[in-house]
Amino acid sequence: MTDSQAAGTVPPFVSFEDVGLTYAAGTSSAVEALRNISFGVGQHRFVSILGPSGCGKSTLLRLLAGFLRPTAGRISVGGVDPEVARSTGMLGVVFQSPVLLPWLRVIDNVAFLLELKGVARTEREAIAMQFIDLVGLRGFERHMPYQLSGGMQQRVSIARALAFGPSVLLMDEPFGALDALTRDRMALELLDIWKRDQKTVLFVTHSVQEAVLLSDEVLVMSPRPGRISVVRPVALGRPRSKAQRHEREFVEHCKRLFDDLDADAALGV
Amino acid sequence: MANGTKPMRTLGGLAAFALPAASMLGLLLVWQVYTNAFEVNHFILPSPLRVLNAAFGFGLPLLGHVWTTTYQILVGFTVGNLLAVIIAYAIVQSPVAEKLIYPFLIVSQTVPKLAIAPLLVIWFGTGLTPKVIVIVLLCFFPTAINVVQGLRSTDPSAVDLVNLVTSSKRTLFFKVQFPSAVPYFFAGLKISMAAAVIGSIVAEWVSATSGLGYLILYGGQTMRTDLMFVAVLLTVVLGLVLYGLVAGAERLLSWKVAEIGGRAA
Repeated sequence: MTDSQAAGTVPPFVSFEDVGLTYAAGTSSAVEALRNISFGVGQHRFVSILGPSGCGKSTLLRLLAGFLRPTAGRISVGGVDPEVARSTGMLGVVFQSPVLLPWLRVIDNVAFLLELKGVARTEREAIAMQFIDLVGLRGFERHMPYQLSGGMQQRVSIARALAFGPSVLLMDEPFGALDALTRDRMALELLDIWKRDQKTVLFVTHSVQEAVLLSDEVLVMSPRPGRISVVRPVALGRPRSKAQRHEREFVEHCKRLFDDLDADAALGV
Repeated sequence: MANGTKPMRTLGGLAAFALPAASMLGLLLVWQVYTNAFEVNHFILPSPLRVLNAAFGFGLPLLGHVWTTTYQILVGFTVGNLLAVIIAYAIVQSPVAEKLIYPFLIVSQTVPKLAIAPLLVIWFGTGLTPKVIVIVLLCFFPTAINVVQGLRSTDPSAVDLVNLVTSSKRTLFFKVQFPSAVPYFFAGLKISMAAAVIGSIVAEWVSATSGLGYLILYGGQTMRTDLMFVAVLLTVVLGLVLYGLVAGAERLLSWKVAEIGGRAA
């Protein structure tokens, strides 16, 4: 979180250059999902992607993970192609649902990606225990997923993403399925984890407050075709707290983002 | 919290076992009292005690008949379900295979098994083979359909998850797709086992010199109603035991679905 990074003098760790994605390009049923997406994210920054449903937020994340290829432009993660970044284990993903494997205990779920990578059992279990600790689930490592609440399951999935040791964490509305109270608590816990376990985070959300609470910067997207309409830095100090949400600065940040979203909606109709 | 929180069971272990046993005993008791009180002709309906007596009177050869039927079922069930898993895998892996295989799947289910059993005797003789084929035909379908559904139930995000590390189809199948399908596999196996028992009895009716199905026919031809009851009841017991084995394997090997936050809409 140095000033030089914030000012953009260091080349961005994640960059999109004029990226576009059109499904079934060249046919009569072609659908343009994303157009002219350009942005950069500095290393160890926390950036949110905010927008209404169907604006292509998740698609953008899938491009970044190398699950989809853009039909125009260039994406780079740590100086390489997303597919290369993925195959070298640079990327961690947290999905909207926990996506735990129900036949594995918590510890085996957290160690799952390490197992696929071929890390020996004792070593991967030691690493998994470290991250189970980090997300506050010590004592639950031998539980099965069905024995955990929704919030605990999502913590397991965050621990799994971190245990894999990625440098970039992609989070697709990870708290979307949780109730409001759990959601707030998890957001603040995520900030703690992020501070301790330095990562570059791209966080997709449709919640303005969540975006402001968490981020260094918010990319506002608008739909049809999905594009970035404005980039808003969040000039709030850290560490952030729950109480901050009622302060004038926080509320003003939220108001500005709501206005951005409203302006897009007005244009879109 | 060391033992974890088990979901609440509506019945304790003892009640879960004792209640069905009590209802079965009750049925036998009513049956016995009824045949005694109304002096029912034992040719029409032998009492439970008379059936028991007939069983002991028949003695050890009875076990031979039980074994014949059990052996047929086990062979047919194993072959049928191996076939089912292979077919299901092919269907899920390749749309071409799906188009090629599905007609046979449907036809195999619409063919009346009892009607083709005599044909199988002409082709394969009176030995084990035609019986196994009837059982295979009856029991591969439920498993195949269930496993196809199970393999397709894999969470697409879980596939993405594996792709973060490797693009190996083998790893994906063994680490995610197959385990995902296990509960479906066992659901299929249970239906399949029930069908295998029926298949074995039916196949013996066409041509056999041993087995519980054969014993039912033999009892009918020799006016031994009590012997028919012995064979029918042994078939029921055999069915229960075999079904219980599958259910027991399921308890050991299958997993419970996450109920909260498992899959968000």
